[in-house]
Amino acid sequence: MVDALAVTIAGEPMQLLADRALHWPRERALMIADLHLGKADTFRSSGIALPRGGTQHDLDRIARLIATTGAQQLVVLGDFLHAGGREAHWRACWEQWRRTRAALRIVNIEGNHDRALAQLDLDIEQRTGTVALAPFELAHAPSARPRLHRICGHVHPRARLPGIAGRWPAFVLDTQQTILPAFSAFTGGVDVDARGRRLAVCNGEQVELVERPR
Amino acid sequence: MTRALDAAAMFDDAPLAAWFARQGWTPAPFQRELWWRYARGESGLLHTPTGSGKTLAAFGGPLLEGVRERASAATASTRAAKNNARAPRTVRATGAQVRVLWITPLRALATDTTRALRSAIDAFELPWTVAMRTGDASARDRRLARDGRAEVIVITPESLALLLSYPESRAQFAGLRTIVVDEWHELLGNKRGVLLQLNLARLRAVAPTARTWGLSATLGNLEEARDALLPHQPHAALVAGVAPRTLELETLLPSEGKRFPWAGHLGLVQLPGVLQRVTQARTSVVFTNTRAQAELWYQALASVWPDTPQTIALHHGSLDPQLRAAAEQGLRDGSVRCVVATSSLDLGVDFPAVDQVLQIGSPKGIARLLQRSGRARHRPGEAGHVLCVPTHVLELAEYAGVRVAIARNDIESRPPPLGCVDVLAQHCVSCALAGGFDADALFAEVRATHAYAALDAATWQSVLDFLVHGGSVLENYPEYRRVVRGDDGIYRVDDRKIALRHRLSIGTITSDGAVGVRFLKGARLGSVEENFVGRLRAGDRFQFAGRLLELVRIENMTAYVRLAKRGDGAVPRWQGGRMPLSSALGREVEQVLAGAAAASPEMQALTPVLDTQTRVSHLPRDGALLAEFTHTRDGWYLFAYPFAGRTVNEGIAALASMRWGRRITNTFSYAANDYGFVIALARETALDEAMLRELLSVEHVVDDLACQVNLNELARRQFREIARVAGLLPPSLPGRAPRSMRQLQASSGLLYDVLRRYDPGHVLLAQAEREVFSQQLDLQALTQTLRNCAARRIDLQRTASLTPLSFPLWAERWRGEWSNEDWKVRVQRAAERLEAQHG
Repeated sequence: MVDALAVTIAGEPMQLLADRALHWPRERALMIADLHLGKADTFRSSGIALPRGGTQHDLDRIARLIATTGAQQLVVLGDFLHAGGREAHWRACWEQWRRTRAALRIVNIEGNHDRALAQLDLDIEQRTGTVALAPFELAHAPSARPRLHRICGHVHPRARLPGIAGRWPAFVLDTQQTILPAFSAFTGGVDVDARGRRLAVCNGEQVELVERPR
Repeated sequence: MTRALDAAAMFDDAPLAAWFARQGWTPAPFQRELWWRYARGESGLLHTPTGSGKTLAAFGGPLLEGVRERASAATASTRAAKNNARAPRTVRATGAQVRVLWITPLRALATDTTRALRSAIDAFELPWTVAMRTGDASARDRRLARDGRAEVIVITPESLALLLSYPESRAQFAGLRTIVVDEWHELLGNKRGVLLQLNLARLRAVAPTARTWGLSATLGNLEEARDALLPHQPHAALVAGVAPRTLELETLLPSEGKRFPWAGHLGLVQLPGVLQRVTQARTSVVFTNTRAQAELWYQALASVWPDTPQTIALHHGSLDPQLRAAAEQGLRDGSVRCVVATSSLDLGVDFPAVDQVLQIGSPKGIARLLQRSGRARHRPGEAGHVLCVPTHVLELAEYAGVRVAIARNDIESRPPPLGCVDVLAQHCVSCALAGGFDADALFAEVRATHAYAALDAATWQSVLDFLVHGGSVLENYPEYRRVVRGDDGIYRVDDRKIALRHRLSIGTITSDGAVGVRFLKGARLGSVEENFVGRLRAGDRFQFAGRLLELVRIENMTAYVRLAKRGDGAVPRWQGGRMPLSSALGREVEQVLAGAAAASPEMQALTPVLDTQTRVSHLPRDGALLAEFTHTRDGWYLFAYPFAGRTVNEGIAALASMRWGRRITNTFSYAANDYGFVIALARETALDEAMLRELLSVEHVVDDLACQVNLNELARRQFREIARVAGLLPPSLPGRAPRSMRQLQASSGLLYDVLRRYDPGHVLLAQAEREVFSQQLDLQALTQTLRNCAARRIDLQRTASLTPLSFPLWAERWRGEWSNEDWKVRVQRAAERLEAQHG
């Protein structure tokens, strides 16, 4: 069972899921960021030997989250793809996965890696820029001055914590915006300063706020 | 050997001897022996200290050969002229012009070697061109070397590998007569040497009659060094040069009343003393152990420097070649009086003008200090001198230990690595690029090297599978392409992008993503690691290249900077700066602390500290293993001191933490230094001698290490180098990131995780584990250390406070941890700590 943490964001009850996703119960929406489908394929076609398996694993993780939350729509906050490549292996995985979930509504907010997406028929709704969905606005990248509370990705936040080795995928819970960790397991990240910012870190099975329990 | 020397004495080396006489020199017996052996067609290894004339020892043979050939060609043409026939013109076989290949490990060395070889060639008026082919070489030299239009090529192992990756190179080396490997001891013990072994095997296939001579400093394993260089000649000559000179080791003790820090590595407390000694001498080289330390010492010295600012310079491997060359030139012509340097100046460059060598901080090894002391002016028959500047108090014991070891002529060995599949994979791609290879022929060629003598067919096949299919489970790698096996059975690379990427990443020296540093106006300063620059924002200041800089912007892997007016700035750190103390020196230190060399000035100066250690705890003595158990404000600490060097101590710490974790629930963080290790526990626990003995037991060492989660963490770290060498990571290029590579950013850690999950049998993962056991944990030394511990009495002291021995460990950064506590509990504890720090 994947751990979930109930939080209130912009007055809205939400759940941080330990497997790097955000659940919005009222809209029955599962939100993830930075899926980077086909990253390993890009590496392979450039002569860097990465085994397949990562794409399927990421898709299985989404399936599991949808099953646990009962979500009816999946919102990807950009970087759905890593780079084009029509014939690539990931495509077959995706189509197989999509076919068995035809009823699921999938929306992607275009990210900087998604240039090739328009030419590919992946059976998803494609949006560009900022999408307002009160009380939130959804976008790929963070903003210094969002109009509404922004939910976004792009930066792949990770955090180092004193006394624990490693860099943990992190939700950045600022007052003006929420930045999701990159969903794909095959992504690195940028360290965010754990001091002075509200974070929740996750390890795949557990999620915990980095703040003193009051 | 005497017979050989007698025969060498009979050998006619008149032209060289005459030239020597004109310079007022006399050929040393070992030089004549080498010339004689060379003329007989022999290969071999010469071991002699720097500055004893090894360059001419190795180059004399080819010179004599050239002179003789010219003479016989002249006779032939005279005879031809007499016979009234048309004099045959010397026709150069295009592309087979290269006669001598001079391989040098360091770019800084190449400049000096090129100059020395050129002047010798000019003295004999031989029509030979010398071209330098290193990362720093000029465009003209590169072109000459690349086209093979030079008789003598001075080259680094990496540039040689690059050159041999071009199809036309084989023909160019067909006429090769001589290969000289300079400073072989620097290459022997690492993967650079392995790469060179492979390329030497290539050259032997092209030019089977070429003679190979290695030049080396004294080593503990000279025969092995020779065999690794000349695997095809098991009994090749091992020629001893002059005996190593004695070394006078002086330690700069702080002035009375000044307290010595118990830990640290900068040692700036000693600045006044160092300045005084540097200003007393005409020219000095101040050696440091890391680039960051060099930057800080340069800045400190420059700020109090009484002479003109141009007379003090900085030299380290991340500086732009032009800045480094300027510092070297200044040392040579005497315009620079003091250079603060790292190991970038360690090797053979002869600076006749240098009067004095200083070593800041730990010497790290016996051979290393000998080498560094050799940088100062050589006066035959005179003892070398080095002034050691301790950065913390226990380094005094290291200097005393080095002195004892040098007196006994006890020099470390450098074991050559065996069977590195990452280097092999890289080499195979180079061969595929250089016109392609036949698998069986290359297998035979590779097995003829020392490093791969034991390579089995299955491993060889897995390397081929990795190159052609991506991995052993072929269907796991759809659409992968790198090396292609043609219908004729020849392995080739036919994709230009892959060829480019491979050539850019040839070599085995790995550095973190390097970001170029340059002024807005264009002058280049050098490079720093990406993760340092990544933490800076525009306007932030940092110190680099001896200047205080302000970051303006980062663009295309280049940090544009301007000089900052005033203030302070962070100093970049470079990874891999921390070298462990050699185990030979570790043993000396333990003995010195136990009372040997008590009369030396260092140990005298150390007395108050040793007294404190004795009062609060014990000294390591009577063959007992000293351990201390302490409770401080932050937690519970076990310190133990096997004196086995950082590597082994860390391995033992990891092992003991894991074993402890089987007994109690707790979080164990550990760290190590060259003397011992510390394990910190988050929650209170009890410890007695019997328990400690079990933690350090030699039973099931391999199993315990292998089942430890942390082994993965170690392998993950080790994988960085392997991934880079084997071509799994795109090269990081300061200043330019080709568009085609932008989509290929991934950390080695991620690659490791992906491989472990989806292709756990991968040949490179096995390599990573092997390297963890052989290098990071040094299993052999670790087992030996545990055996020693088991045979000793354990002296477990419960101390009320930190001791002089434990304090430096306490100040070390944690290197790993082992926990069986709940992850959430630990995150909450981390949050509390953060809040406490943040206020």
